[in-house]
Amino acid sequence: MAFTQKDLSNWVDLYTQELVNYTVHKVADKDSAQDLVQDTFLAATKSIVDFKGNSSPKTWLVGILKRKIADYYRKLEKTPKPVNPQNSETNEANPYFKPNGAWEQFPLTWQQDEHLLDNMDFLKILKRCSDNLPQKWAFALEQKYILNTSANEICNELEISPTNYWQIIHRAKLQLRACLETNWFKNLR
Amino acid sequence: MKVKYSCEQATILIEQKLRDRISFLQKILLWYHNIICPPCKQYENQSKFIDESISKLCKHNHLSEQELHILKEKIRQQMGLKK
Repeated sequence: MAFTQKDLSNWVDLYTQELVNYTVHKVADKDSAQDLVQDTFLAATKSIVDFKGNSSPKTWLVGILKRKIADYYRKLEKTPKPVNPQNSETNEANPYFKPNGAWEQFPLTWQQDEHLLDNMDFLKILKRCSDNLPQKWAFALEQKYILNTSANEICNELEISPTNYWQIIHRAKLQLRACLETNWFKNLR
Repeated sequence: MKVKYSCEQATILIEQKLRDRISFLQKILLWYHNIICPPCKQYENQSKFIDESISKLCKHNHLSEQELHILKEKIRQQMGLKK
């Protein structure tokens, strides 16, 4: 099946917003993110003849975008957030639980006022806490909200099994929870 | 069959419940676990809240309608496409 300029035009409508959101997350700068998405579509125009529709158009575009993001970092002579090989896997025992599966330390009660999600200071702390997660964990955690992808697709992209995915989500959530507790909720007490 | 979850198992199930789905039996067993284990019930509420915050954080940088429109036009122009 051959794709045409008309398909591309449709994809601009369908995927621009999602691609920008994804990129803003990777490069943390809205202008560069828009440029990168623009470059992605330009590259897509050139290579549309090679696209056979074996994957969804979105997956194909994200693939191009990822290469653009890698180039962007190469040009900046900055490396993207390094993946820490020691703790990006979840093989080690979970530090939040005792060997018998009981809590090592009970979660504290949080004082959550109803507008907490509109509080920029809180969101900053949350961002810092999520930046501290191993890249793969943060990716697994956020992907659902950024590209609206299903657990299955995320597993494929990260090349992990569903069991491993849930372990990663579990560990990432526990670490994020503990970080928020230490850096935000404890200070309120 | 296992009828009692440890807190570690219960909290993994909570994540599955929040992001995907769990079976009816798992729901019942988790519900029972949460009744006898307030810390896990609390974890569930906090975890739900963390998901909401992540979602909010991820959406925080969305372009405005106007910015999006301008960007789409720019892309189309660059690609030599007409609407």
